[in-house]
Amino acid sequence: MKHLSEIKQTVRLLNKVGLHARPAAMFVQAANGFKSEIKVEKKGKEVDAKSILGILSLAAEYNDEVTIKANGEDAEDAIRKLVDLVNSKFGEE
Amino acid sequence: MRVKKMIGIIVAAHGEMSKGLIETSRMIVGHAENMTTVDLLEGEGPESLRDKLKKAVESLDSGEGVIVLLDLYGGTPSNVSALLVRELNIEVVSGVNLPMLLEIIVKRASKNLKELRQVAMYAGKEGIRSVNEIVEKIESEIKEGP
Repeated sequence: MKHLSEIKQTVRLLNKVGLHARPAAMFVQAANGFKSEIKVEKKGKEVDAKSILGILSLAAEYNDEVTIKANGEDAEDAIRKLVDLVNSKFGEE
Repeated sequence: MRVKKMIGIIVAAHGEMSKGLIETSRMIVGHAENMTTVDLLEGEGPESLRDKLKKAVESLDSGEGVIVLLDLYGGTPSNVSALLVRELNIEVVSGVNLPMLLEIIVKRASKNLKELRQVAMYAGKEGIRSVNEIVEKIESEIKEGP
């Protein structure tokens, strides 16, 4: 049941600081707004997108590719929101 | 101070710790709103402390409550807080550290005050790891091979 509803999408971080500082906080805050279980994976390491400690431990930098995975009733909305956030460079640049 | 509708955060610690923690959190996740310090002075009396804490809570409470993160359990600040939990809409958690504060900052918009209690306690503990142990584990996994 779990894997059937998992949606994922890979994105490249094109903002200067990657998934750190304010962008990381925005990303985690956004992820927390969804019911789905959300993970972010970089080079085989997977972390909980709803945890700032998890996201920071990923050390995802500018130009890194990460895969966002969501599992649950609002998985599609979650992926869309988080992908948009990354692609808009967190509205900062 | 115009208060946005969100759970407030108070860091109440001795000396420079509160300001230090908040400054550091700003470096890591940027500026957080509705957050303030209560600085605990050496030998401060319970009345003065109660006053300070109460004023701080009232300045931040937008109707969603306030989470108070204390440095130490036991002692006057902790006892004063214990008396206030029945009077004010507050959750008080001791042992504040940076992981705890960061996680509270990013989760407070999506949780209610009572849920933040568990967030604080879990995150505070989660952040405590042995780097040596992790290195040893990785090394032994490499030795064992794929």
